[in-house]
Amino acid sequence: MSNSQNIDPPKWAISLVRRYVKPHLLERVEGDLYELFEDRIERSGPFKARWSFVLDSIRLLRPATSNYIQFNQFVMLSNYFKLSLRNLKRNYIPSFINIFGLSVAIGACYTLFLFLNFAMTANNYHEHKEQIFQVENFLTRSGKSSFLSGNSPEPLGPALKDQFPQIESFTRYNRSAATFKYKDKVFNDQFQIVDPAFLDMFTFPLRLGDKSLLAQPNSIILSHAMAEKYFGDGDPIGESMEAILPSGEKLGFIVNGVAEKFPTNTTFLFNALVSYQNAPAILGRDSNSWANFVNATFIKLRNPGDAEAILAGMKPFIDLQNQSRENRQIEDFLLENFQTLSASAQGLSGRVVGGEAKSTKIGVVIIGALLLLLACFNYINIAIVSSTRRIKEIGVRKSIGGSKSQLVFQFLTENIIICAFSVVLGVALGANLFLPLLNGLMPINLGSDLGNPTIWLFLLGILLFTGVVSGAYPAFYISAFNAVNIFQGRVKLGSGKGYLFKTFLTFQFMLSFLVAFASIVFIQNSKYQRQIDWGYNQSQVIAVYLQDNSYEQFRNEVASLSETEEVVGSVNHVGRSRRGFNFSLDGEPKECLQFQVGFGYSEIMEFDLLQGRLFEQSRTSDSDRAVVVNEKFVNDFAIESPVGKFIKVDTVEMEIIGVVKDFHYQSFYSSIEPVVFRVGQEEDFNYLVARIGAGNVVQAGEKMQNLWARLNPDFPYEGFFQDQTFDDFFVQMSRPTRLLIGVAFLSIILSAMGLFGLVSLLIAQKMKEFSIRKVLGAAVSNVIYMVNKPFLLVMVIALILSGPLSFLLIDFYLDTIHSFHIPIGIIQISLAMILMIAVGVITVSTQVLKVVRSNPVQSLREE
Amino acid sequence: MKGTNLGEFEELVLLIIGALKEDAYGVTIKYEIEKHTKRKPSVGALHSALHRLEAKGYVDTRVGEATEKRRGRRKIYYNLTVTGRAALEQARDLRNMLFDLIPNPAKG
Repeated sequence: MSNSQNIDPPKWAISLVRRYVKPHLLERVEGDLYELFEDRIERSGPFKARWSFVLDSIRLLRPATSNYIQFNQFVMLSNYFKLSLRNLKRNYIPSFINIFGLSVAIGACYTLFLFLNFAMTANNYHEHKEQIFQVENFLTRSGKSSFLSGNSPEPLGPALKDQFPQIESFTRYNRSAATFKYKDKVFNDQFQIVDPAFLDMFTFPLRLGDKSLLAQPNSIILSHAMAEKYFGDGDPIGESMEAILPSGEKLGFIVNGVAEKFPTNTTFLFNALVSYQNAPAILGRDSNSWANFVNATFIKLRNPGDAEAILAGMKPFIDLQNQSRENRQIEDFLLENFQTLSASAQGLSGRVVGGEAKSTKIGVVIIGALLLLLACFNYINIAIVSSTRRIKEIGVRKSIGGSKSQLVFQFLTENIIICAFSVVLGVALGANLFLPLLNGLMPINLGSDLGNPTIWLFLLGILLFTGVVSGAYPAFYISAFNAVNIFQGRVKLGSGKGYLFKTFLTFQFMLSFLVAFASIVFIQNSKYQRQIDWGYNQSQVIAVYLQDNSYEQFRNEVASLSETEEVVGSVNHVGRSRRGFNFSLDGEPKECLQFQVGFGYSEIMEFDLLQGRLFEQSRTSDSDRAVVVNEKFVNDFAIESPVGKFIKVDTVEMEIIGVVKDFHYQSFYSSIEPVVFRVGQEEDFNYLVARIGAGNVVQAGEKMQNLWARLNPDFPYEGFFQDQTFDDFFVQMSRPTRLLIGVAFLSIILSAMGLFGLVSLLIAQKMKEFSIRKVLGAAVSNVIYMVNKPFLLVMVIALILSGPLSFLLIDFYLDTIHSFHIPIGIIQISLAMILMIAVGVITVSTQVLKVVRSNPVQSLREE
Repeated sequence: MKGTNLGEFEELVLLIIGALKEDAYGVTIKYEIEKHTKRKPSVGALHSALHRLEAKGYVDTRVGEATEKRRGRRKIYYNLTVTGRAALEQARDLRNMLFDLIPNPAKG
């Protein structure tokens, strides 16, 4: 006995016993269990004793000794469970459609929820998130609406820290790029210049190394991905890397830390961190100048409530900042808490914390709900029709005293069991099929995260929601029948008019039509927008952004390239930059946009000249007293015979010398506004624009880059092909289009499955009728028509109803989002209708074949 | 509690309690059952039978000592009550009477 003193039975078993054994029996039972345990240790050893203890504990779960099991309900539930399984097996086609349809919808919902969860919990793992604020600027752009910028002057961070004792620490965050080299591995990579407090403020855990070493000037801390890229599986700590800056200068760094892989909900991250002490060397500028800007400045407050006070105390910095950069006047500062940064990211220009737009999140919720509803409609339809087979069971239950509420409970239980299957299958579908698809569609990398309690809560919610929503109507409907009527055969389901399921089916088709139509329109629209005439010749043009007064030399060198046809400088550039322009016309003040260009710019861009002439260098008056306007300018300001008219800027009269056709200077979201061209001064030129001979454009681009590297080694080359100006727009547009195609596909599949289930059930019910008709000599075409008729009728009604509705909805959507979109009309509507009818007819026909091929004798011989 | 019937297992437990006299508590009853029959009742089965016997008034309980082996939990001893004894006797009488009704094959 004494040798067993320190062996204990399993703790969980004891706590189980304590939880459910009736309190007045607990002491004796527990005592017996312990005594038996001690005896068994001596007799058969500790392992067997523990095992027996567990067995005994579980076997205490009986009505006489435990509180928790109510015997009758347990039996009832297990009976329901058994019945549901039998029903599933017997009606396997509708069951399969139900379960599969629901799981497709649940899988989609699960995926969308993961996405939403990612968007809502972005970056929430930083311990000090409540205390961290980003310093943002309110700017006004030449009288237009104000906007928020995340950039801030380089010395602002240290200055704030000096002035306000409430600020515990600050960090600047500035992106830069360099060529990194480790042994034979050389890549171009981004890196971030931050202050030493960065890793204390943002608690990115380090996998290796020491975060305090970030303060050392030659220290670099790598992200997990970057460490893998250069060092593979090896240990990079203490290794030295070389960074070759765009200026050609080389800096040596020692790897002093490697971060853990960032969690999936990360939208604020780094590639490699180096200390801000390196900033002057890397950026080649004075870090104390208020004219220089960094991507972001974050401050950490001792107490988040102090933000108001600090903001009020920051007023003097507004003037300081505005004096140093005259072309960038700010109205005010804003301190935005780190926790809201991801949600408001879309509204912040120059953001460093990424995030999804609000409209995306709302769209995701709507799509998820829509798919789930579609699947629920399927379920309700099939449940009502298939309950014909169970109507006798209901009668029996009722006549032996089953109450209505019991029946409702039974059907809901069954439903929840079906839903449970669907949830399991749906999660598998979501994780293995939809999630990879979504990851391919969006710039994100989500994982199926079943360790997250929120996900489980969501799945439970979905289970109860679909279980009750899809089950409530059938449960109440079926259980309401009178037992006597059932046995007299007076209740006939499905063979009645079936208005209800027809209504649901109509609704389903309407929804499917809407998404099918929308995706057809979207696909055609993006094609259309790619072919829109930009109003000038965008191909074979290369533009380079100039960063200092390097224009003349660079221009000469570019002009001497054999590929170059013509080259010109410009202050603003179509597709990239423009400015506001205030003038007066007939004494009335007006406002429009202006492009200041060099002589020859309009010729190189090949604008279509409608009236008058373009700028001519030989006429001195052209350089400061002439403008060329676009059509919109003429139309908006209602100028008759514009050429020769004068507009007044301050006191200078400027003559309209020409009118060009409207052209697209920004993406197709926005409309074209009145525009003037003026001649700009060479010392203000920001862009060099070159027209390249046919077929040489890529080669010319490379040559220009080399030229640039030789002439301006301190600045990165920022050249681009003019015809790629709207590439971002097209990429952005392709996402909702592809998402919509996916949704359309799913919803059509769901509707088709619902239709399939209904048709197969109705055919099963009417098989005798069809057989008799066949025996009496009905033609095959007649039978096919009879089966198709009710469904085609529903389809036609649905299409008639949803056609105009979808048209209005999509047209309104396109009008709100795009200023230039495809005119939608009969073609798209017909295409969507043909698609829907084809899907319907094919679905029904698979079942019709069964009728046509069946031998009428067999179905009539039954009974 | 419905009726005062004596179930088969209840009868066995009641007999054992009587036989154990002053020493009848959970573990000893279990061991005694295992000794005389081939059954191995679980603690739960035994206590639910004891619980029913107590509710029918066939046994009463007496709080005993706590031992080290029971980790400080007190024993609850069960005693046969007068009604319990009467129930056992009635069951035996009924059984004997019915047994006598079975024709003896030897006598024909």
